[in-house]
Amino acid sequence: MHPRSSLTSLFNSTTSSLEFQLMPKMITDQELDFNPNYLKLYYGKLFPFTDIFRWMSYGNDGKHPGCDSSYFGRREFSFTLENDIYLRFQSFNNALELENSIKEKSPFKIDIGPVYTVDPAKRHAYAQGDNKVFAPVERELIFDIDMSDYDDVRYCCSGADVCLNCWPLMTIAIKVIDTALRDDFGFKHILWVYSGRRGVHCWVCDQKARRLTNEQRAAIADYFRVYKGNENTHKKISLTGAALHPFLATSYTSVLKHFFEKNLLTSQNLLATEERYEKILDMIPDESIASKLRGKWQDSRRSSSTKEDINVVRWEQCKQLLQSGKISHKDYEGALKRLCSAILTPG
Amino acid sequence: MWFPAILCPRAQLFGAVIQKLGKQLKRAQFWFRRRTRRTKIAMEIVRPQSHRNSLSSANDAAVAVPTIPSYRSAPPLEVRLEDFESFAIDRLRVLKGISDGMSRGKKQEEMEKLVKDLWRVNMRHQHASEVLNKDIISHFVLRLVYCRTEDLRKWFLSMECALFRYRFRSLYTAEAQRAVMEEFDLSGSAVTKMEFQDIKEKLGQVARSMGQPLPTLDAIFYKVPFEEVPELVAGRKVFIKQGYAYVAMNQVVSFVATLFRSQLSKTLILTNRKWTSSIREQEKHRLTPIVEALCSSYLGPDLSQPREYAEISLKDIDQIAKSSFPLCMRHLFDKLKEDHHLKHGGRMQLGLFLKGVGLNLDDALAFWRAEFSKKVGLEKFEKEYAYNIRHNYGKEGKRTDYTPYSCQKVISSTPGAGDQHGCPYRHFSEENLKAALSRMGVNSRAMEDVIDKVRNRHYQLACTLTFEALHGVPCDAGINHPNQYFIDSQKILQPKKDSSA
Repeated sequence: MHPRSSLTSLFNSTTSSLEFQLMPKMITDQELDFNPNYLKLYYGKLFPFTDIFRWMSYGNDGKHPGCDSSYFGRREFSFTLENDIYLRFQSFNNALELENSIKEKSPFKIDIGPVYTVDPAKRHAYAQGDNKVFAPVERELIFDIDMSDYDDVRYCCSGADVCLNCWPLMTIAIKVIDTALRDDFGFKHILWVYSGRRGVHCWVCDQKARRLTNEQRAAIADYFRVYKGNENTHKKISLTGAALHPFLATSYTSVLKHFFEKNLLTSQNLLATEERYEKILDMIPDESIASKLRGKWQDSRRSSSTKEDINVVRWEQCKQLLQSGKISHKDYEGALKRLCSAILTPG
Repeated sequence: MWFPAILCPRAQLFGAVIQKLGKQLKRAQFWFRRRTRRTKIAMEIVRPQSHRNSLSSANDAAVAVPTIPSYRSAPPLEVRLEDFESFAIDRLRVLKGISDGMSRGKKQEEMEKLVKDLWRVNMRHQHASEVLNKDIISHFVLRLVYCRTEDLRKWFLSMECALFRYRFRSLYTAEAQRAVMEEFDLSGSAVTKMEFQDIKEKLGQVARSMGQPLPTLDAIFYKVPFEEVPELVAGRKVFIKQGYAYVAMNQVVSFVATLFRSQLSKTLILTNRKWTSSIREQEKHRLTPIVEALCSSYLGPDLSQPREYAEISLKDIDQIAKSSFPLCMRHLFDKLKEDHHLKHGGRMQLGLFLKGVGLNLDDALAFWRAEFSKKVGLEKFEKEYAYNIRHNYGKEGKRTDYTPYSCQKVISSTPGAGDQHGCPYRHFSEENLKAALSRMGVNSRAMEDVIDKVRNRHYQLACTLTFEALHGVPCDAGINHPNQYFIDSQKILQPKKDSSA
């Protein structure tokens, strides 16, 4: 909830044409000059206190029977003030208290924490030694995806920069994950929001999700993870077996294949130079196929006499060899899977 | 010697102790089971639920049934004082054997055999009818012993869960497995024939993705909320739809084990409360000393912290890094010097190791500051990193004095993009590992042996061989902790320093 973020309509659209066109608004240097007075204005006129209260109450607003009136008061908020002063364990009993405190303190950043067993302001009275009587009980399931996780498949930008060519990687990730969260896990209340700099946050707010244990959350994150490595490990994807798990298969057919072949290959020139295609070849488990392709591509460095994009040509060659090698032709999807694999553990 | 209850009220008292514990536990289990039942209503119920009464009847069975008790209720038994101790010791031998096997990186089939042998040797009884009782009693006694601190509970929980899994796996018949599942009230969630037809194709895909044969028409699948089988979800080993996981019979071990684990975890906390609030005091002349002795004489290798702190000063660090750091820490150290940065996992692993090595807080701050400020500047270092270093030394926040990571913990970490922590023997590709080892100075003959161990997934043995190759002496105890590697190395390289604890 960073006041500097510009929420875009990117994530509300469902039509495919919009996805590749919208992107976060580029902010000019002048506009970036930040002034704490903007905050006063923002909190005074724009910040949706009642909506936040309604959301975070999850129905426990005291207006109907079966309410837990202590619920909202047990939620932790934390504020980052000017000069990086960090205040944890802030809690409020109602929307008005929340509003007054925020307006008074004018935080630069607001974080929403979990709901505890008791009001966090009273935690010292309950936490004694081993007894974990003051403990978190509910917390939304949150995913945080950073553009920089895709740095090894994007060459247009790096670090915190984002552009029209690489943002679609994010859109794809969102589609894949959102579909799985709904169809596979049965979650219904999902919010995707731009994180303010170079990524997105996903908030899953179903009651089931809020009550998940750490182990269960890690399991969901692992369900999505495909490429588990870094510069020290093997680069080969482990995709054994004659078929892919339904999650991967569905993602591939409905989203990834089209995006990869029609968009990413060319926009990022993934196979155009030796340095780049080596990364892909590294992932093919069958060495003989990889070296055949390497041989072909080293020879044809300047054969751009054809009208077709060199990346597309090389990708077709790759596919053909893999299919003829009687390796499950789904193995080449290994390269694709890297795209949707950069999911950080929530929280 | 057998003390008839009449003559020895104390023996009766002990029975009452266990009973009291049992009642407390029963109440807790009732709550837990109520929750389970609520969950069950959300699932498909095909058969009526099993009855709680049948649990206690299992204890009366005079035949040595190959079954695993659920340890939910304490047996209403009289226990001889000497059995109290000896049963516990026998079971502890089994648990410790499991712990050793796991830290040696034994594979699954080896572990199954090991557990079978350990159990057969240690847990038998001259009267067949007493075998089950010995199982149950020894478990309950060890609960008393291992409930007292977080570390002890964690260890006991891990070992008992491992024991349970391997025993469950080696139940030969589906019947026997089903019987255990019924102990956990799990019979009610089988998938109907109709539903099976609908999802047959997807189930087949999942099976083939694991290199397994397609499920047959009479295959039994269980439909459970995905929350109950996190392991299977994480590994994409089950088909999930609308929040339910479809689990094959052979995967049932996983979720039964999960239930076992969470039950036992809750119980241990309760046992601890009961112990501290009443039992320890009541039994201070009889059972308490036995319980306390049992605990301290059998600490597993990963519980003991290296107590020998040699004061290390900053100027020595470069030198000792080269000579005495294990590969995991050497790598982190080198990367830090190279990049002037490490991600969180690396900072924790190396930082706590250095603390264990004897680097005091001020020197630690100076050390990290010197490196990080080259990349992020002094101000950012103070703002963003200094706090965490102080936190690791127990000087901030909840002031826990964090323990340096053991090999088990390092091996089981999951380094991702940009990370340098973890165990190189596990996480590095063979090429990178060979390069790193040769930078350390391992000769090619030793390297072959090390790589051989790595290929067989004996990561700690690989590290031990590296130690032996570099120091020229055997290391019989094996490496279980990076700080132990350091201490042993220093002992050899600086024999004049008397480092007795």
